[in-house]
Amino acid sequence: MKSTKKSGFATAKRNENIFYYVMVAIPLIQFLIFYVVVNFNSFLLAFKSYEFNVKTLNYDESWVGFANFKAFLDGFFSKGGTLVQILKNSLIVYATNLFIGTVFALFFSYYIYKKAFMSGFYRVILFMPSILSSIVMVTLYGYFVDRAIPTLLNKAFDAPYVPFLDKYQFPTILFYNVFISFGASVLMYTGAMSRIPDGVIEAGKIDGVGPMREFFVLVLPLIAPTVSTFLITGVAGLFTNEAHLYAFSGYWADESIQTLGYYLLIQVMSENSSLIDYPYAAAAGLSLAFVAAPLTLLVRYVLEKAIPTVEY
Amino acid sequence: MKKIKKQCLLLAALIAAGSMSAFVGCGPKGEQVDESKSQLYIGNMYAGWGNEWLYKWKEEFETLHASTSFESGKTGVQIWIDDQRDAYSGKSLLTSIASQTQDMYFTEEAYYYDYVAQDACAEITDIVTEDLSAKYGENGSIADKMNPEARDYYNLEDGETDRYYMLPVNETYFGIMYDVDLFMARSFFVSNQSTATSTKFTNNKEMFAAGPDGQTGTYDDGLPATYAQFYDLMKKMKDSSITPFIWGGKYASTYGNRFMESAWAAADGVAQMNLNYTLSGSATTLVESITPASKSYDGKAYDTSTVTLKAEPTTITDANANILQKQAGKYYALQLVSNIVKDETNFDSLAFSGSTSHTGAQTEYLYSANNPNKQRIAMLLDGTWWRPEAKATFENMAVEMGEDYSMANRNFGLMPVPKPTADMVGTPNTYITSNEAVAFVSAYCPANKLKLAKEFLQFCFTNNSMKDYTRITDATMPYAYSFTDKTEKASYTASLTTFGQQMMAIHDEGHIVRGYSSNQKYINNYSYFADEWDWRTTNSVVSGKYPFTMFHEKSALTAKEYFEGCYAHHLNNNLWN
Repeated sequence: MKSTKKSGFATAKRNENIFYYVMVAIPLIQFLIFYVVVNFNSFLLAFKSYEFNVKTLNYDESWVGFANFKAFLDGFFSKGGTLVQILKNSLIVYATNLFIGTVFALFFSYYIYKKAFMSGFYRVILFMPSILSSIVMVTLYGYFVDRAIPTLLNKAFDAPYVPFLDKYQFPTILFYNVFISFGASVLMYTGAMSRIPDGVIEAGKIDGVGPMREFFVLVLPLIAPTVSTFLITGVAGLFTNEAHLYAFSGYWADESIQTLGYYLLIQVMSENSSLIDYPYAAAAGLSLAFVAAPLTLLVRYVLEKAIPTVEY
Repeated sequence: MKKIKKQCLLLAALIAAGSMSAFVGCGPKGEQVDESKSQLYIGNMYAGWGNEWLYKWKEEFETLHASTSFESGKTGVQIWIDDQRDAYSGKSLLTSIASQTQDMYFTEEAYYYDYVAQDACAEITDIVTEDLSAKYGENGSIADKMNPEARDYYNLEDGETDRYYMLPVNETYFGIMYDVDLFMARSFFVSNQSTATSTKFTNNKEMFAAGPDGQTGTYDDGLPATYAQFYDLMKKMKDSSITPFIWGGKYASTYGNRFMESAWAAADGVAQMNLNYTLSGSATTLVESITPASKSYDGKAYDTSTVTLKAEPTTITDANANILQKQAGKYYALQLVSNIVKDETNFDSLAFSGSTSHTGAQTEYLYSANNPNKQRIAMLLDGTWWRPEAKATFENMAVEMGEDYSMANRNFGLMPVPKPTADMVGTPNTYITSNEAVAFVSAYCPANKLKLAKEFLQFCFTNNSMKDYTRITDATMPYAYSFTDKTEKASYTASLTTFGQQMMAIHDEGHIVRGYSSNQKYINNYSYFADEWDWRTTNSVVSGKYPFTMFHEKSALTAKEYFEGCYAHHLNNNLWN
């Protein structure tokens, strides 16, 4: 009887271990296949250089150590380097999405969660950009800010006709990014809010909690893990966010509005790039990953410490 | 429930019927696959040039080879054209060609060396060097009639044998498109009564000034010969309630750069401009100093500074080519653009609008001819492909407003960029090709189709096909056209539109910068030369590479500052140290 019990525990323990390893293996295998294997050549590429050989009609490769990394860093530190401005833009896009996008998304989500006036309509409208093609949305938005609003201001206030994407290009694109980001975040936040037990909200009401207090004291702490997930993924995408610049300007966005994500894109996709540029682009990508990866882990660590685990 | 079932069945039947059309091989014009004929599949980058010319070639080739057998058991040919904008653009295609199913391609933005190094193209030396006299009654081969610079570039000969993998399709230019009808109606042509200090205008052809080439009886008669005359023309337009310019604001940065490249070539000429690609030769237009000057137009100061050139020519090599940043043509192009862009009365309010694409600008331009809510626009900055690209707009206008607004009944021309100063008038009008289209047979073309694909490619570059291409698109091909005699040439030229006639005249004159480089330093630093070389600057006001938008945003920035910043930037580049 005793040995049977022991054997039962051992089997359960073994099954638990198998389950654990299988579950851990899935993301690990995915990481190995879709990151390490896929990017393996990119890692090597970052340390190579290519020259065209007229005899063989091919690019001869050579190992150049950290030359490509140096060339990328020169873009930040050398005179005339434009990467400082581009980095600044990436940070501005991130900060705007964080401080304005997240805050407004939370408020909108709460509005929809409370089923306030026309909340269903707002839910559809805010999610619409996520299901429509980016080019369609950018075209619509462009006509709205460059033609509709200036015409309206001109007719109503006799203001000079100024297309927003001309004179206020970067802020106008920032606004678009905030607006477009609402879809996914509002969906997630309202989903998280809808999981809050009704009893908690009811108890708050009995205690005389008003809507604002309910939002800040009850709702926000209970959906904090969802908010923290968005904050962490935001940091992870800090250097890859192209801020929809491709849809706005193709490969020719002015450097004054470029982000690092867009910069990386045009290194390999613009009409004036060639295979010779790939090593530089690979080095740039790796360099940014070296910064983004620990930064993301740090933010996750801080948020995990700062935000208590919520279970309900 | 029964009703729902019925609806589901109906829906399923519709989906099935829709899917079946994919399997029966129905072409865009209702054509069906004929299994008794060889099938050739072509990918066409459907952009500005459209596909009308390709359908014409298809039709001619199918007729020519109706009884030819390219595969055992099959007689005749059926050609299928798949038009796609992005999938067949040079950049995208290179990464996906192995998985594409087309046998050959017509594309743009394809960097030759990348395609060859990636083994994306089948070798076509045999059909390029084959004498066409027996097959098509022509003297010599495609290579023989190809423009010599193009031949040097596309022939990757290894010292012993020729090796061709692609063929260039057309010659296209970027510049000022002007509304000939408007110029006539409003007397915007420069009169031969003009003096050095006063520009007179006329619509009397007999009184047209000689234009920038200094010769009468040529296509540029009556067009402004100098920057000063051009500024006077813009003033006259504005005085006549006409807006001088529009361009696609969404791509103002790159369109501006292309226009400035045209202005640079127009000022420096073919030989000096080519130094920027060969990195070898003698530079004779390097700036020694700039003498500031300005002139007021309606209270706005236009920069009219002049340059003093270095007295002695400078030998250019791989080691010192960055000194070409001091070329006078470059400075003058910056000056011209700064004057156009800094005065907001020179362009439509949508010219820098991010919502106005190149096609949007074409629409605004064309519709301004009959738009009571907007001033008429005289000139459009665009490429010579703009008319085929705006075909739908022309057609819509003809339906909405009448045949007077159809493509056939409206006249447009390409204005040669004026010369910076009066003493340069009389030098040839120089143009620079851009966005060159190319054709090639895919390296992944099945072996049993290779002969047919090559045969069709060769056919596309026969004399008759080239003439068809020009007649349809108004664009010339970078090959020598042959005519039996002057009468045939005159008859052919007369069959072209006025725009096409101008393109043919430019082709015949041959003052074209083609931008080919086989220089090893250039090839191995392609993006630096293709992207940074022309307009990258670092100066006290700005740092960047898009002067068009920079002059628009920074009114304090001068052409001189920008120009000196270009040299400073490239002086410090590691490539030259």
